[in-house]
Amino acid sequence: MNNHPSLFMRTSVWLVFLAATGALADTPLSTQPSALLTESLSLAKKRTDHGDVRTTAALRLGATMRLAGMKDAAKQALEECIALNEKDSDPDYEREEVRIELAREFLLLGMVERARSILKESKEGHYDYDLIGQEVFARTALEMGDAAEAESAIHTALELAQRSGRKLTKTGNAMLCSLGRLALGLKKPELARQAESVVKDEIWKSVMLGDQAVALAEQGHAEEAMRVAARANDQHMAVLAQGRVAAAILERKESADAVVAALRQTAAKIKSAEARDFALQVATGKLAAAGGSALAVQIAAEIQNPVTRLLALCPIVETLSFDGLMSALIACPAEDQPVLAEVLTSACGAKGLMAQSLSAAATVHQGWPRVRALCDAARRLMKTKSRDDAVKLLGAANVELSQITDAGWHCHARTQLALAAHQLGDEAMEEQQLKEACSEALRLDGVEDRRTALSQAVEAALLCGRKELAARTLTEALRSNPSTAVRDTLVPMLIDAGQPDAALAEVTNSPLKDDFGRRFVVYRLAKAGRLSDAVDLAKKIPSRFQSEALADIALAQLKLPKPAVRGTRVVGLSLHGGWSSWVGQLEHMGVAWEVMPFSLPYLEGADGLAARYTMLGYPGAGDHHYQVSAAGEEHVRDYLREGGGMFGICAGQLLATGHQTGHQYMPSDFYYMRGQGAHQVQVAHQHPAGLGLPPVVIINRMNGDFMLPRPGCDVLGWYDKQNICAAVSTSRYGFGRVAVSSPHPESGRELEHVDRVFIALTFWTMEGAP
Amino acid sequence: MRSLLAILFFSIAAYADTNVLVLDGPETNFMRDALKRIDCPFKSIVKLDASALQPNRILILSGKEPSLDVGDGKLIESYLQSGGSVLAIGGGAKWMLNAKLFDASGYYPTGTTIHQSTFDGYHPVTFGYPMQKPYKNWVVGVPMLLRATDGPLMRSGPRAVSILSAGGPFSLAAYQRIGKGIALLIGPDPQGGDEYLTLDKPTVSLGSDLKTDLLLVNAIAWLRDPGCNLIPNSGFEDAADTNDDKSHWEITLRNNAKSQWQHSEAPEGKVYLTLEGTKANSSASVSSYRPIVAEGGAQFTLSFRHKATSAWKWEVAHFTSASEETRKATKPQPLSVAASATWQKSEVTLTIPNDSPYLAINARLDGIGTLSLDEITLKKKP
Repeated sequence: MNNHPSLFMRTSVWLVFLAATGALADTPLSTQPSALLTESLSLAKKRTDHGDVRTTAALRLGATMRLAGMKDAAKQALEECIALNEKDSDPDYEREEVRIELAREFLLLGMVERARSILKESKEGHYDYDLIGQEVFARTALEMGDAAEAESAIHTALELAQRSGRKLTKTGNAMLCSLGRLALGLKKPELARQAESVVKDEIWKSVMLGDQAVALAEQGHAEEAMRVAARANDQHMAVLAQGRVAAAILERKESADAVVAALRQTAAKIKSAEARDFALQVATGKLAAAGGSALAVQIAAEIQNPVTRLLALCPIVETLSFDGLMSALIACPAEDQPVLAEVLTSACGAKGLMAQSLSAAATVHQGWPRVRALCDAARRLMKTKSRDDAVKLLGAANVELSQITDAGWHCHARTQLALAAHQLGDEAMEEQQLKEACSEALRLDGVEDRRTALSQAVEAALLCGRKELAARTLTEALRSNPSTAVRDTLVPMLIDAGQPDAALAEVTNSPLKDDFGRRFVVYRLAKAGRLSDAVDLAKKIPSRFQSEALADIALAQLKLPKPAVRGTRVVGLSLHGGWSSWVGQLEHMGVAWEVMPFSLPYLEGADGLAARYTMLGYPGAGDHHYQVSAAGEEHVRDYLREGGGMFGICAGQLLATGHQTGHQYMPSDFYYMRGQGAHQVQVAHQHPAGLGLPPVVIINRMNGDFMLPRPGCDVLGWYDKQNICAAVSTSRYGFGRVAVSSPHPESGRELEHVDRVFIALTFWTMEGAP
Repeated sequence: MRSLLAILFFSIAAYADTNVLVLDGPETNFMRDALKRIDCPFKSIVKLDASALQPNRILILSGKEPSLDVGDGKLIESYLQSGGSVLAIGGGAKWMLNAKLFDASGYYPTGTTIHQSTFDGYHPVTFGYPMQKPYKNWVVGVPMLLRATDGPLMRSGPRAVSILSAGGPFSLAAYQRIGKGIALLIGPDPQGGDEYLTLDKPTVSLGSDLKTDLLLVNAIAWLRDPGCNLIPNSGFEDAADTNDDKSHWEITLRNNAKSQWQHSEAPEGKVYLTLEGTKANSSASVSSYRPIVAEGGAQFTLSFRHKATSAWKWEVAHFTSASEETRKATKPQPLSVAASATWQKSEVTLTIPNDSPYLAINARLDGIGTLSLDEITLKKKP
């Protein structure tokens, strides 16, 4: 790790760079995708760097060629990627990840045998990845409509699992569970049972029995479903299974009383009160979502902790006495009451209860939390009832602005009001707030807050379609000789604001400091149809990234594939990194998930991500930005702006805070502090995701950043008692939600407080409520 | 490594009759146990005593709450001014900052944490690191530094000089010359301590297990002899053929220049370095892989053994801080050295600018010729 390259080396490195870029300056390039991709391949072959940067780029290049219909070239590029992967990728797990993605690419090319053979080429001791590979293969085949190949892959995985004779790891269990689900989707219950029989872990076995029971219930076999669910030996999973079965029965308009009675008996056997409450809370949610309010109330009544009980009742607030709920709220610990009131404000909004929403909001902390609550309630109310009522809530939020004394937070609150007004169609409010937000952002002191406020205000203006205001603000901000960080953030936005010439002039006068920033400009120029300019600019990018920049320009011209229509959206966990501890937690929450190929954001774009995923999970890893890539980052950004969710832990936090790319979904700066250890995270009881947590939660850190929160970063936990460096936080990005954790809340043992941090953040990111 | 440890132990043992005083928190014996572990004689004191604070002594302040009063600040300052040394660790370092005896502010994350430090620069306090890896692939600083007693992560002011970085703007170890004395502050606890993996059940983690005892050895040895050589692996004896992180030397060759580690007939030890230029436009150089932590305003002697077929030069650059992002560097100053057919031992005097305590040295041979080098040391002038 060379953190201090020789002082005497830098000049020569710079000269090499200039020579490399100069050598290309005279090479004419067509802007056609095929020509760009051919040139990209040629440049890729000249790359002298190593490791996942080069390998993942080669993978994307082959995939882009596939999308461009260049099948033979794609095949050639992917074969070369295989060779690179064998030679370059380090550590081993990165090699295995790329191998899985390569197999997927060959499958998508229609080269099934080659895909199969790649999956067989794993190194000794990578048993988990063999199973992941078969799972990804099966799911991809299913999406391609090839049920036979999917089934074949499930069989292969089962053979692998049985043949190895090894105890399955968390990953192995999770993959067999997922394969069992695919089998059920293929209407092959026997295959699902086979998968379940391989799994010995009681928790995962219980999950799989729950899946089988739900499938039976959906087919009208309620009694058999109950019998199967009752076989689940893990009591938490058994409660969830029975809750899901009850929900499936309710969906068929049949009585679920018997299942709910059994569920209550099962729950009573859970010894830990906290674990029992949580299981009942999740089951209540399942029933409420299926329209079983009365049964949900019955189950919620068994929850002992008043905070958890109130949270469980919020989704069915319309069936309950509001005064009763407020009384229940007052019975909760004082520090939780304002935050619970925020959840209740939103819940009332979601059910069209404007007056109750306003009433609950009066108990929320003044200032930003109250604005946040009212904006959220207004958005939810808009979906269910009259616009006028929603506008009244926004009016109350507008009045509350005066309580925010910090200039940066005031500006942030205005952008949130503007975005909510936009969703409501309240143009007057939208225009007023945006103008004020832009104006306030331009007046802000302090580089970091100014950067955050400007980017938020301009993003909001762009999302509301007010390009002129965005362009004016950007022009004025750039005229005032901003810092490098501010400039790198704002210049690419000029293109979104319809000012590509201004962006080009900026980068011509002084190149952006950040490589990713330059590639964002290239991609946005290409998306805006300025292909020649994009190519010209790509030529000025450091040589090792030119190949990728050209491929990005090609991608910008292609119509990205739409994923196969699916029943429900799920949490997508990036294949790259350590997601194995996530899946157990997600199962405890009753949340559907799947492993997301790391190249998928690049290949399917924001629409593809939105069609598939409620939330993107980026776990701890070396880094993510090379796996996601510049164009992939642009797609993730668009997905979040339009309402997606992202939860990043450790290396995922680096991605969300723009550590390596500059795309700052979480408005915070950071200190990179190498180290591990059990930090005592100080919980800030200011946000719904912190409800029910004790004042201090010990969470293990593995080199995660210390965050320096900026306006818009709602801190859930601090690394210190002085509120200087944040450990866990949430934010809104456009219409989307983002949560990050520097330490690892996913790696606790069963239902410790640390788990509750993970659970609360995930629920909030997916649904906006804990 | 073993030889280095032996030297350091020897240098502590040489002062066995003095003079290490330990004032620590009542709640822990970790420091005392560590000093016994490293064979460093010491005297425990429970209260600061002016008569015990003689200039040739080292006062160790450690533990979460060393038993010091507000008024003890003046006593310690006076002791430092007259030439005493203070090694303040963990809570001791926090006390020094709170007493405004050191030019840094503290940041205090909650909990007991492990820090993987990086070198702000080479300094005797960090000699022997990076070592055998207790943590996978950790080759850049002192690893596994347990912060057990609420010590500070420090933002150093201009009078304090950081030696070890925690990342961000924070230093884990820094020193400051105060009058004739030196205060060396280490935020974490190299001796080890109680590590809280849960809120109420500590796990004992000793410096011997974490491999951080050596930092304590080094700190005491340096405070006993602050005029010692500042350059690690000065004679190229250790890990010369391995990577720059391990050897501490970086060789840069241009236009067919060559280098070779010679393993016989060295003027000192067993190894010396040869740089060879084969063309008129060849260039070969060897530089310290990281900057060296010196002392602003002081004079140092750069000593080296050399023989060369043509004239060559030293290039010396000074830095205001260790951070590449914030530091200002002077233009490298060339110091010409004449050719010599036989081994010579030469010295040059370097004056360190007041505001630039870090320096980088680079021996450079341009054109055709051969330069042999050995035993490059940098010591503060008395």
